[in-house]
Amino acid sequence: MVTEQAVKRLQDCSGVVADDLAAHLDSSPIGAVLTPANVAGTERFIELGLPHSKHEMFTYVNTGTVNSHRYITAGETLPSPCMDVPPECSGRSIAIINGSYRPEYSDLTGADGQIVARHLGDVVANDRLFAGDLIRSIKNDKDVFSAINSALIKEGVVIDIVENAITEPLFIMSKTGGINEGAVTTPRLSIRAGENSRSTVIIVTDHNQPDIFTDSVFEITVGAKAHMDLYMIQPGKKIKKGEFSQSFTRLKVVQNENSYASFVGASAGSPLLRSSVEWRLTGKGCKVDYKSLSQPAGADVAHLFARFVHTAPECESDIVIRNIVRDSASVSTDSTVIVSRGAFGSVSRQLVNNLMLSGNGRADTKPNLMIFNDDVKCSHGATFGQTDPEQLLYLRSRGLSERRAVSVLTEGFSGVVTDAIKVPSIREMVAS
Amino acid sequence: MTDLDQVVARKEYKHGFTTDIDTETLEKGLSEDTVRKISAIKNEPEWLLKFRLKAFRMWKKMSPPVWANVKFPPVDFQDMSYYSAPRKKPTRKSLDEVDPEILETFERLGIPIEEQKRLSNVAVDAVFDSVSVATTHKKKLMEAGVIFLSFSEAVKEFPELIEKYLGTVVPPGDNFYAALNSAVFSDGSFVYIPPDTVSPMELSTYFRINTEESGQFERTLIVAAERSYVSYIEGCTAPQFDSNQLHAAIVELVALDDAEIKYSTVQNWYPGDPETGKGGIFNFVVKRGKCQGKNSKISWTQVETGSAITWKYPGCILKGDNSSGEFYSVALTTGHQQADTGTKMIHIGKNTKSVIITKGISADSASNTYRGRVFISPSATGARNYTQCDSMLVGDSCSAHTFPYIEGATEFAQLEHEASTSKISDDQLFYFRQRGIDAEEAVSAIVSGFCKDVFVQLPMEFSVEAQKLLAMKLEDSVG
Repeated sequence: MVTEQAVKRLQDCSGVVADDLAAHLDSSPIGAVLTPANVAGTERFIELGLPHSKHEMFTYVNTGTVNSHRYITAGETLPSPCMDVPPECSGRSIAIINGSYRPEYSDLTGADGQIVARHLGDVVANDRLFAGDLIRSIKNDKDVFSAINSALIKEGVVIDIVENAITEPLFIMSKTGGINEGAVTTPRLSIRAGENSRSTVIIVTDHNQPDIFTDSVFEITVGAKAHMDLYMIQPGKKIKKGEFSQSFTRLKVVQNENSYASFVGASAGSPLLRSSVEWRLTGKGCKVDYKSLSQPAGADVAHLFARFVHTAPECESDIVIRNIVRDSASVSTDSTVIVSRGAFGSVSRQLVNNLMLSGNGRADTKPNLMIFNDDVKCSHGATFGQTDPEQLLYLRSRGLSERRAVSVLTEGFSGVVTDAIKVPSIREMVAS
Repeated sequence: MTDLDQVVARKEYKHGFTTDIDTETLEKGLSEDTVRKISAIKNEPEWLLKFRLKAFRMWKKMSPPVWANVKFPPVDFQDMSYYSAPRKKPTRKSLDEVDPEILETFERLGIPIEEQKRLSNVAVDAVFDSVSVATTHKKKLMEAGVIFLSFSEAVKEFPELIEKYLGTVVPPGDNFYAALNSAVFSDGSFVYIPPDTVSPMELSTYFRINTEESGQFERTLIVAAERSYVSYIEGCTAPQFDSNQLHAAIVELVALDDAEIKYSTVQNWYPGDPETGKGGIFNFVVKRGKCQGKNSKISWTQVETGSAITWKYPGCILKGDNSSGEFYSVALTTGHQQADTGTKMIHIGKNTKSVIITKGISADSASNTYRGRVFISPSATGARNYTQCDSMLVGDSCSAHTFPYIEGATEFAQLEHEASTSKISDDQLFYFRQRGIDAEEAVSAIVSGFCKDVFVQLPMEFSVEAQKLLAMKLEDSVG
């Protein structure tokens, strides 16, 4: 049972006003298995306090909006996911609806036993090592919304990709819908890619519902010598002008020795979208290729807060972040590469490009480096600008309309990210 | 053997001596009464006392900033004296009236006021603890219409100019240390270049903290009127004490239409004991220029080698259309030094341009942070910025950090930022060693090349001194 005091504090501060918060947690279909996580999350939330713009993590986030909205915990209505599973993922799909893992809508028949999905509660109950790691992870997490997620989770899913597996793409849909307005949902997903495995994981987060706060936590471990292509896609919004929703995602990735991970993140915009990424290169010789594309429009706000931490020798990180800003949208990127004392031979490249398609938009960029080791080669770059007038003229002089010419240039700009998606239907979805 | 050669030979901090002179020092502590006393000692007009008191009341409500990437024990603002001055009569008609001990001090520091007065083409204002002790070349400058006075004298002789510009670039409530300085500033320099005038010589101020338990809070105000030009040089040293001294200065620059100000600094405050980190200056300085007029230009060049803690962001507010700002910086930290330094370029006017070139070198157990902000406001159409900040690490216990803030709120602007962090490669060292050059000299030459983009911006004599200073500082850092 979460302590009464902690529940009250959470209710007072987090914007969650369910009178029956304790009852909400107690109503978990898996009983009290996740209570230690709820307690740890609540205590962590109390330690971290409410976010405000003086926290470096929230410099560019309108924390007033975050804090002023009051949310209630989601009801129990669990609709059908209506998923369009890409053809490349036939027989390998997992459904998470309003934070709950739904085996009845999931299909792993095409995985040949190489991918196993289980309820988070079952894994916590039967795997003491995992349960201990979960609590440690919650206690050390510096993200306040990750703490809120931990405080409120009733459910979740753990996906194991077995050792030495070579799998076809896995499709994971995390969707919100069919619940009361003003609700908060807390999807939680753990993926463990076994040693020497080779996998492609596609996570589609469809949380753009009016007046819904989705607070997701995705934790991924890439085993030694494993290779993972990870795509995280947030499709176009379905909410009307003037409606509000918040979607916050915490992505935590740990890479082990000689592993390789490529990541492509693409978001089409949301009234308030925040991605908080912590990517740890903990094994010698691992490498990450990270690419993200954000395209907010209207009055959307998109924020990326990312930390790439090199803790082991001879690791490499290659980071490309591209933002396209339309209308009066704003985008902010706060990305840091941290090279720890023992991480000699580290190589890191970081590039942030902002393309402004409107005079009313705003782009804020903070590409940081924190280097505690002298044997490194690190660089970062950032640009901010509009479409090149000479390139526009070139296209216009060949008969393209201005709109089409801008579109061609924009496609070229985003192509650096979208071309890295190796699953054709997903690439088309993002490009469109 | 020149003075600089001797310095290089000696290795230790050459400015660590103290001068035994009779000083007038206010008792420790800071209250409204202290502010009134400082104002009374300086016989200031009522409006300036009001300015100070307003700043003090703001300061009382503020807390010290904690966001900088530096760690140091909290400063007890009640445990220091806010005014210390050589006990000599305040007005001097010639250098003959200056305490010979002070003149000797400046000679030892390599600031030959006497000699420069006669021979060189640099006008010097020497600030000793809290007050300006000597300003040279006044007459020649006055003939050209250039006002170069200590702040106290300027308040008496040109109160209307001071009242018009004081606090217009760095308002008293700007931040904690700006409020502190505005409340207790003791002296400093004032420069006014009239319209259509190029200063006939470079102007220079030399700052010296001499007393152990006093802070230094000088204030510099430079106004360049329409179509004028001035180059201003600043140097700083302090004696070697086990305790920390606080230096919280403000520099305000105002450039009107088509005017240009070039401000160069070689900062070599006592950095503390290189082995233990004990002592050293806390250098918390607010420097800001405002390009108020169209086509105006402000250029900051700094070589930061001293201070235990440096917290300093010289910046430009580019308000006038077509105005431009430049920032060139070399920051070297060795021993246990910590520096969090950079710049702010605030683009407001149309077609404004800024360039930022910084080189950070970190050795031993030191930490070096670049923190810079480029902001393009919605009105700054056609704005352009180029930033390059490179860091070099010498040794495996040091650290280098880069925190750029690039904020754009208009479609029609272009910003480019690039940065790199690396060490001196074995190949580079091998190339030098192969030619019979030892490791220390090789590192010195490589660092000198690394910083070349900044050194070329310094006046010639300063450039040579800065390079030698860097070489001296890096001695014993090469393992």
